Amino acid sequence: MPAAGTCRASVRRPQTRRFKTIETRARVERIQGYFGDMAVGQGAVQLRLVPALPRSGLSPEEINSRYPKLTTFDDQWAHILNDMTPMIGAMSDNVANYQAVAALPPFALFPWFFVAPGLIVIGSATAAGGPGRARRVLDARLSDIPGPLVEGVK
Amino acid sequence: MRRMTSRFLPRTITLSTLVVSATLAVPATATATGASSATQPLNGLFRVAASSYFRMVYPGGAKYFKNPYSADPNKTYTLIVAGSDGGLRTGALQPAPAPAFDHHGNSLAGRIIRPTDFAGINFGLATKGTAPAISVSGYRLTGQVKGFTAEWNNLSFSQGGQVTGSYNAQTHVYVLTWSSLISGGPFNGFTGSWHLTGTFVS
Repeated sequence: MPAAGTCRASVRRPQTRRFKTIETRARVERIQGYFGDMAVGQGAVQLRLVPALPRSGLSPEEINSRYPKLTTFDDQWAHILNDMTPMIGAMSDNVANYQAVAALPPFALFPWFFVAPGLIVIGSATAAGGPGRARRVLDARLSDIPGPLVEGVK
Repeated sequence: MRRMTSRFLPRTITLSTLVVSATLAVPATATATGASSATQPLNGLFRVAASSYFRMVYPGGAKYFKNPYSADPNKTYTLIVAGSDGGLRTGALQPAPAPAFDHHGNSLAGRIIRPTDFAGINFGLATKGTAPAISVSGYRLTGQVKGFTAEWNNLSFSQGGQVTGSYNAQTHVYVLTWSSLISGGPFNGFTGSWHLTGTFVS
């Protein structure tokens, strides 16, 4: 069982970072390899070991009582494949998605993507003379237009 | 591509290959015996003989997946036998039944081949979408099996591709081979390699 501190640390850690070493093409291929090895192992249990045990003089009851996990493993193999195969598929299909998400900047920086442009706009406006200057420019332009039309604009 | 040597070939494959090779041997008087170089579609049934097989290559091509349940001594070869239709039809689809799987994930698609144990769960074959089309020109077979799918563990893997092979118009013995890269899913990056042999019936 992990220490409480470890749990708290993993909760604080961003979810994406926890998959950094897992959600890679190389790791997926390694797990695909594990799958192949497991299949060979299960085949050896089912096709060699289980048939060999009765030949050693053990009755089916004795085999079940002495090696219960063999029977369980055999019975559960299809279910293991049913679970494991889609998991590998999901891992494999999401490597690109994960890498795209992981490449994003930390979420804590996101507010600054709105604040920073806002500050730039305000700074630019201030440097250009502020709202008073804009009003003066508008008035100067309006002075070139005939009076009756200007009334409508104002 | 890994070169297959006799050391790695299972006995059944070696014998069948010899038989098929002998049967497909091109006569010296090919044109005189009726072999035409014009391309002709072969619409009918490619019967699947017992020496047909499937192999799966790991990503990168470094090694083959071993199927412990294969009937062949070399477990990288999964031998397949004809299903209820007798083999692969061209010009028509052979879809999977509904439901396509039992509660363990075993495929129930048994028209092309008899569902075969692959790592503890049966896989079957079906054709979907585009019907297979294969033509013969002389002794050379070409065509496509775009809709060819392998069904296993509640999943459907596209195994379509361009096929090549050989055909003897006198004996009707054929050999068809193709490879198909699996894209997506648990076997992403693996390549399925198919070798069908038998006789063609129009």
